[in-house]
Amino acid sequence: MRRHFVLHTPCALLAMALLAVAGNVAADGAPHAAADASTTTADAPARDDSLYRALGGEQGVATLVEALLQRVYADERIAFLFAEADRNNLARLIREQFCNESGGPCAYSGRSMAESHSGLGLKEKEFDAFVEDFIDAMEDARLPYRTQNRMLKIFAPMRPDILHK
Amino acid sequence: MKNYIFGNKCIALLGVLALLATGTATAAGTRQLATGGASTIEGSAGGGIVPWAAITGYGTGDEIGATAFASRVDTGDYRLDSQGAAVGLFNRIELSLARQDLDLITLGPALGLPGAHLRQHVVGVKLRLFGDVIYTDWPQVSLGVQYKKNRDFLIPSVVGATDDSDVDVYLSATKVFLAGVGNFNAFINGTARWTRANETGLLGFGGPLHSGRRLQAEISGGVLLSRHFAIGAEYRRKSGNLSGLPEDDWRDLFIAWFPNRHLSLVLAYVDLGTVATLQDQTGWYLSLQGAF
Ligand code: HEM
Ligand code: HEM
Repeated sequence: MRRHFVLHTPCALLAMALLAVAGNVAADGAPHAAADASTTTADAPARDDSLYRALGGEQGVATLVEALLQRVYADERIAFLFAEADRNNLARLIREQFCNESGGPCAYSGRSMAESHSGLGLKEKEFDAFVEDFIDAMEDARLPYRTQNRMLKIFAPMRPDILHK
Repeated sequence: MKNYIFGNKCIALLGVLALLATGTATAAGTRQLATGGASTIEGSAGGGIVPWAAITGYGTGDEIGATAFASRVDTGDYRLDSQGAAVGLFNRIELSLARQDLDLITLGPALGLPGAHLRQHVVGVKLRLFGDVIYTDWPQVSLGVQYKKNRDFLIPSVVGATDDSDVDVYLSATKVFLAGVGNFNAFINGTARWTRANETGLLGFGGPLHSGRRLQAEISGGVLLSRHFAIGAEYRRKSGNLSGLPEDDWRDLFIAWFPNRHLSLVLAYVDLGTVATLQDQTGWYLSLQGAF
């Protein structure tokens, strides 16, 4: 009996993990579709703003973006890349983007990721340093781990648009 | 005794080489925490017994990363100590060395060979074919080769193993799902290994039951509970080639701790089934990895 249990626990756990992942991947389509729809029609009702609320709404997003830029501007691995950038304008655009992507009531007025990062020739290690600063900033803002993961999930896929441009 | 001293020197040398190799790179690379996995008993980056497609260390496409590890599995009847080092080049190629020393605690005296050990060396090369564990929609896929040389072939040859060295070839696919399970990050890894090893090679290669390589499935998966802790499970199919010494598949449940980019610690409860006639081999696995 004991042995039977020991043998099957890993398999059961794996099966559960697989099912959960599969379920999540399948369910993925819905919120994205909703988000896409609402960017075109400003006040679509079905928009899921749970992440925006988890970030702490407008004030929370502002705090997070400020923490991010503080980290980035103090990070010698990447700070030089921001030498030419207008910090206030950048903060405003990132606030808009975070708000919009997390389901909040904002429109993003900046350029596309590919456009705004072109000419920077960003390397993988610079991207990773930025992500590390981003995670640290989310820690600074005391966001729960699972909220951090949801943010990473949204922004990680933008990597190919940002790298090596 | 002499061997032992040489062995420790060899490990120290590997450590120094690894440090030199990374001397020019930024400390410990910049990839995100835990993305280099731990070190398997065979030296390749992965969990404890199943290799991942991940390249060891935290180096990105422009960096070199290196790791060194020591691990122990103890079931009471057996104790397997492994040590080794690995270098990850530009998140593309991984080179690894490991040596294993299996103490036949119970079997040795029973065979009239008290203090008997089975030792093996493993040289590994892993090539990332495509994908990124985190950033691509498809998994990271790598092809690996492990050259294994059994250093105590007397016992394996007596029980019918035909060769004291051989090559395992494996294909691994690993994917991290950000916010994948209840908004926790999760990972899944599948490995197909083409091998003719008996008990991973500690009992040599080939035998009366089968002489050629066979395909074995290995799978592992888990969840990152926080930035620093992961839990998961591994399963490794095995089928030996020795008549009279059937082998069981291996499984374990692990918890891994990644306090920072330089250190990781894995603790696991392992179930190795029947190993060389001794049944119900369950016990503990502890592995320490340093990354540079
Ligand atoms: C997923 C990750 C990232 C997101 C979501 C992001 C977001 C943004 C946004 C919204 C803008 C303003 C766009 C505009 O000017 O219209 C911007 C600009 C900029 N980003 Fe990023 N960024 C990311 C990664 C990075 C990385 C890794 C770096 C460098 C290490 C970087 C460096 C810059 C710089 C220097 C600008 C200013 C460009 C300019 O003013 O012309 N970004 N980013
Ligand atoms: C962590 C890495 C390694 C360590 C610590 C290590 C250690 C040792 C030691 C202590 C010996 C015995 C020396 C003696 O007999 O005086 C030895 C012999 C040997 N090692 Fe390694 N070794 C390592 C990696 C390798 C690798 C990667 C290979 C395969 C390419 C290898 C192949 C051999 C061979 C062929 C012998 C001699 C075999 C014999 O005498 O029959 N070793 N090694």
